[in-house]
Amino acid sequence: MSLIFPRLAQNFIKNGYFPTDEVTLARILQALDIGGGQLRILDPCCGEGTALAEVKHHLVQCGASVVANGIEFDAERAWHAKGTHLLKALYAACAVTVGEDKEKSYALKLRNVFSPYEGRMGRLARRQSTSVKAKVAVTRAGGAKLSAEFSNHTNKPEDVKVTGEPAWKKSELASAYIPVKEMLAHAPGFLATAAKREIAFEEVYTDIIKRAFLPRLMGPTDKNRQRLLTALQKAIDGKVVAKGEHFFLKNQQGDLEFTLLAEGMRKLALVWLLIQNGTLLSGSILFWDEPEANLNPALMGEVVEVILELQRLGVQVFLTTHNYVLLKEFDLRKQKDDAIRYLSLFRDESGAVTSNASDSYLGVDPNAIASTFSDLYDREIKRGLGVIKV
Amino acid sequence: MTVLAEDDLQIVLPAGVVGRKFDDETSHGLSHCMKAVDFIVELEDRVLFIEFKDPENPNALQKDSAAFIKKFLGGQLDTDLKTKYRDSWLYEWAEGRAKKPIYYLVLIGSSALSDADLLARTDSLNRQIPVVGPGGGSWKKPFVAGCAVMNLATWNKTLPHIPASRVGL
Repeated sequence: MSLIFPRLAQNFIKNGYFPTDEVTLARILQALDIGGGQLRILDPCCGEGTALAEVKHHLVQCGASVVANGIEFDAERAWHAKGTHLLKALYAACAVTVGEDKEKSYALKLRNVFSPYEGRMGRLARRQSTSVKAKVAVTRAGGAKLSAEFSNHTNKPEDVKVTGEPAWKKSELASAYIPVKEMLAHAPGFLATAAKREIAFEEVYTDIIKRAFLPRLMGPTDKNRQRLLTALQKAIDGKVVAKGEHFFLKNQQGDLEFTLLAEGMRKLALVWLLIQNGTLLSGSILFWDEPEANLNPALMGEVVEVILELQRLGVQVFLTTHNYVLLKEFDLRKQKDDAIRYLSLFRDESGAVTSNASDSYLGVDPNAIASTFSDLYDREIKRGLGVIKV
Repeated sequence: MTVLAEDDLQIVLPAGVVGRKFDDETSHGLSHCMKAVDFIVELEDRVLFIEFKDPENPNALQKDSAAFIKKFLGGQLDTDLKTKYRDSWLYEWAEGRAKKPIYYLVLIGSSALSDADLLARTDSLNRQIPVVGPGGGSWKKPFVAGCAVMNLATWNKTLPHIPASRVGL
């Protein structure tokens, strides 16, 4: 029981689930020992297998030969990380070109946005039993290239080989990363707590709150931006105001605390803030991890319209999704001059994550989302019609 | 072997299976007040009410096809599909022919619809007819055994013995 209560106290939601926190895991490892021999360990609800891999590593160091097996029923979760990882790697590359993050190396920013266990960079490399090297390379239009190389044994960001950084940082790339979990409602006190490293949140969460707090962009608002702001105000039925560290939706009913709003509304309100304060201007980049998360499906069309409008304003948008409605909304709302590229991430025969690109929704292949619907449809037809004998 | 065709869509019934065009003004006789599904096919253990919709008919204008798909995806055709089934069922029942379980099959001649779209429309039709009775339970005397909205590919996968195709191909 002594393990359970601290776990509850320190277990933070991360991308919609509760991974085993570092403190609890460390206590579990302390309690485990074996004097050699062969072991098989099973985690019946392993998620992405992080804790399981740690336990295996610990037992191997104790001298045992260990076979680790894990079960994860949520296939989507097992797949989830891929798109998010790409978004974070790209976001980190953008973030280090602007503001206070300019002081950070790409490696440090990578570590902070991914937040691996004990801050060990090597944990970002692909997991396998033998030694493995990892390389992240980002190229931008114009040819500038930034890369970071490390192995699964690399611990500190300082030990990561980063190339191309000085040239990369010469031109700024303003960006914002909207994580799956909406954070504005939790803004009060969050930045101070995060600064003291008392909470296990990836840096994308503190970054987005900081951007939301930026003051309104001075000067006249051009008509395209104003149109977008007006459309968003209509969708959220008001404007966002900040009092100290608290955000409110201001409308005819008065000032509504963010904690009283539906999470989808808060996300739209965040986008309104980012447009209003000039974070999302032409030439900037928006990373949005699963816009559909906690969103009323009826609002999906409006969210997609906002994303398309941002693109028309010159904002480059990267988003990840597992949602059919969101994808279909893009397909239906896309206009002739809109530029959308779909990247389908999948594991090839060797188990490596690879991608296929398409400029049309119908060209997305493999399309795990559509396949899921096809499977549902097949089963619905079988249930509805049964076996038809002629 | 019987071929049931409506404009450019057709299904071929295997030998021994009886099917007839139902939405026929002359033989139906009540089309001024009752809607009708296109065909009724009788199998050994069931009856199939079949309705064709063909937005990709070669004679259709592209803008009409697009408008149809939009209406179809938006559920605006659900009422029409529902009424056709209910009126046809009532007609058959009143004529003393509704003795076997009846299944409602809607064939949409469109390659643009995804399985997700077809699933959504099948769900909607199930709700509209409705397949389940009051309180979500079964009807004491069910008037529909099941329904499905299919395109040509799904139809041929589900009913390989009653193949559907375009007349012009």
